[in-house]
Amino acid sequence: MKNMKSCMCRFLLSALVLLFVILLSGCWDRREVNDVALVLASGIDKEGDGIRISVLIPLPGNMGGATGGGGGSGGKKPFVIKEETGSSIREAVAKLQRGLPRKLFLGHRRVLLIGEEYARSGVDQMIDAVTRMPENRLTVFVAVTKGKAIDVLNANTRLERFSAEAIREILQSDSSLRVTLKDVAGQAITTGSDAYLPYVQLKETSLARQQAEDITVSGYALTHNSKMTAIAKGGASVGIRLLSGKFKPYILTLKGKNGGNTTLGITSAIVRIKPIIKNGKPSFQINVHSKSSIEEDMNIQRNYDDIGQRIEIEQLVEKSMKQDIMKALKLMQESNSDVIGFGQIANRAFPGLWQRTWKHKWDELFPNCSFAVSVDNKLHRIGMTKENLAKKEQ
Amino acid sequence: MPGKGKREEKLDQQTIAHYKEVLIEPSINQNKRMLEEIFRDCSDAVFREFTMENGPDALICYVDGIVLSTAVDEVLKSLMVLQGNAFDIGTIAKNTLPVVQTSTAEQYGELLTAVLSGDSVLLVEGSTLALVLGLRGTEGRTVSEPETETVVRGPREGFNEHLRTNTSLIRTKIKSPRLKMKSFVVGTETKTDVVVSYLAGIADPELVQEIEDRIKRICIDGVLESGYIEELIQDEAYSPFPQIQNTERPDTVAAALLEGRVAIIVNGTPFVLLAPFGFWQWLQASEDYYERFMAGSLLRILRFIFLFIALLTPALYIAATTYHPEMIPTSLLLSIAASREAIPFPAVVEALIMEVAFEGLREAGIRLPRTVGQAVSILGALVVGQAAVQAGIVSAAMVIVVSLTGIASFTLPRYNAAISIRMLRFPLMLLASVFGLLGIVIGVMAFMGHMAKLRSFGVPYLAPVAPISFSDWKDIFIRAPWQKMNRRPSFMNVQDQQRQQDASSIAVDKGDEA
Repeated sequence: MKNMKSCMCRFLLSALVLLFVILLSGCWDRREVNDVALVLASGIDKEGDGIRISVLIPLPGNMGGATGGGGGSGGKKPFVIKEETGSSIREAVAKLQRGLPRKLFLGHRRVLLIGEEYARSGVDQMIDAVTRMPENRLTVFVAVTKGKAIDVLNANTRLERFSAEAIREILQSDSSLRVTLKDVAGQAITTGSDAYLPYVQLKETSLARQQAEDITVSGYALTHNSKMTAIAKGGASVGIRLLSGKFKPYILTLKGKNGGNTTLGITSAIVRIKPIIKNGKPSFQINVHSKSSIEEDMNIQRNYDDIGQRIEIEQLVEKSMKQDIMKALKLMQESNSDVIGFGQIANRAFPGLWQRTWKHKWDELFPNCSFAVSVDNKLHRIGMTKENLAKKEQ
Repeated sequence: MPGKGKREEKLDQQTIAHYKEVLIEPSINQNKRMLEEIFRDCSDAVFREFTMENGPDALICYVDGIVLSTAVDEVLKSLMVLQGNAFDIGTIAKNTLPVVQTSTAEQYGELLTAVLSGDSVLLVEGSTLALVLGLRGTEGRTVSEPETETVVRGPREGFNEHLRTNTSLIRTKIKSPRLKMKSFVVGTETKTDVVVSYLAGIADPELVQEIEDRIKRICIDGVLESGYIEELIQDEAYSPFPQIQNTERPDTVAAALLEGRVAIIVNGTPFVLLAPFGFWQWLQASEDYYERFMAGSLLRILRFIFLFIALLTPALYIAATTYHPEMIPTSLLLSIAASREAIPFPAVVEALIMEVAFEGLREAGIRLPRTVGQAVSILGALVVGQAAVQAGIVSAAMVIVVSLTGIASFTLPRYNAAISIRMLRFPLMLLASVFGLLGIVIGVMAFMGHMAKLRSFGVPYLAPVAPISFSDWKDIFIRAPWQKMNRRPSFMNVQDQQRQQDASSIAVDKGDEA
């Protein structure tokens, strides 16, 4: 009995000692939410030889949380932007941290903006700094800004509390293609494909008492070997969107002969890219099957009962889409940016040939590839009326 | 003969066991002196001497208040007025007395036990046997609605403190001679009646034997509530999990008996014990079986979810906000950060303050007289509410977490299980504050390991999930329709598996096809 008791005592004692050992580690990674500075978005700019990073940090105290009302309309901005320069990204972040009472926390960064100047010098170095830290999200949306990234970060959009929120919403909406850091890195490391990033810029609303800055996606930055080489805007950007395979509905306006423009919505498009070998060189057949719907028709005389007129519209849409795709292809070939990954498409179709010859000289092959584009469009919806309601009865 | 030495003089300080060997004297006077000695200073003990018609002297002895005095009067009447000519105990019992329950006692041990239990004892001059008359009648509470286990649909009657009432409530539910009620007396001083009830032919005889053995092994001075028995016969005393169920509802007991479980009814308490008791029974409310099966199943799933909420929410909140802020959606984290901006404490201290305050309020609510309960609930709403937030002591998010946890712990139909969940929340919170999510995983794994090891009267605590037996799963996560539950739970080692004929299910299948 006595023996058992001492045995029990020893067991309890050792359990206690083990407990102390566990507690010795303390609260290792503990950080309270009011001791961290949540970074919602950050920007990277080129600054001389070095780098200027900027971070957007929300101020919970100014957000009018549980106790206040109003929701931060009292003039005080609910966020601050801090910036610092350094010869590398992490160095700049560390220097920035020295001046901050709260620990920078990057786990909630959803937007990473890259200044155009920095993007042109190459984004591959930046990818390392982001991916090496476990805190960072690889699903952060990446975009190239016209001008300085910090200026876009500092935009006062007024619709959202933080510009970061506005940028994030725009980058994942239909007006852009969702491009995350993971996508950029994946495309950048693969031979036979290059990365593309949304190109965002500020647009000022200068209406009296309504001054605001909006952030729009005006095109796509094309890269070659991680260096930004061109910007696809207008028709070329539409072409990139179509070819990228991430179709998002968009609007197309046809110029009418009698001054009556017609606006259509392209509601779906299936793009098939088929590689073929022509004279020993890779060549691509691009077939697009799209559906469109009439959204507005300024031509009062239009009669949708007439199949001829409908076919005419379909053909005009096909022509326009083909032009956009050709523009995009031309821009890509000029800047040698294979952002669609034609090289990889060729690789999948002719793996042997790709491994032996094409892979090593894709940079020379791609600008000389030939493309055959055919678009088939179906007008499948004309809206709730078949003719303009204001049309005079005959 | 009474014990030797010094003790002999103080007969009134002996236990009943002491009188096991003391035989009843043939002389009434001697017996009366003896009894008066034993019951010295017991003003409720009554000794009534009388002479039987045409016969010898007799003495009737009982404890006032626990006998049916009208019936005793009736006995006296028949002895003093209507007595025939037979004077030995056997004939009196057979011919004269209008009493249903009679037995004889030949030594003082039996006699005293009977008297103290509410029986009346008749002693006749010249007889060494005493006649025990079962004329018990205590004042008790009437059968009323059980307060701890209320239902929307289901029987409204509950047990009370009277053993016979309780057994009768079960007997009226199960009218079968297979329903056995084995009687035991536990407690050297209290002599509490304990009844072990089971359905012969269904319950595992080894289980019944084991429970009987454990009850017989109890050697304690008093048993005032079934909780004494529960603690003294449970498998693992140092476990946070209850291994024996208690209930106030006769229908719950009847259902358990039909599943091959054993009920232990203790005199003086409305709480009847049911064993074995496992984890999955925590979530089975009697109403699951009375509502239609879809409602029953959904409510059970809801309870399952709330079990985890009650156990984990504060720990998860602490872990997520202090170690894994990346897990929380950005805008929610910003709201939490905004509400925590002015809070002086770390999340774990904040959580502990609130949880302890809430537990205190709950305890106060139970202990306080009902008339001041209102005041407590008003104060409680202020403490665990807006006032605490506005004072900047706790954050609004924490108030939500604590309230949710509180509500969740009330959804468990078994109060003793809910208490263990409430207890285990605290170590989990501490683990979460030191190790984050890893700590919670460690804690939950430890609890699960302990549960897997635990047994309740030989039945694994997590049965039928671990060890697995799929055929019993019809009444675990869901409550299957009655037509489909043809078998009794096999993990209870029931003797007779068949609950109903399969024919009824065939009829249902035909209905489905139509």
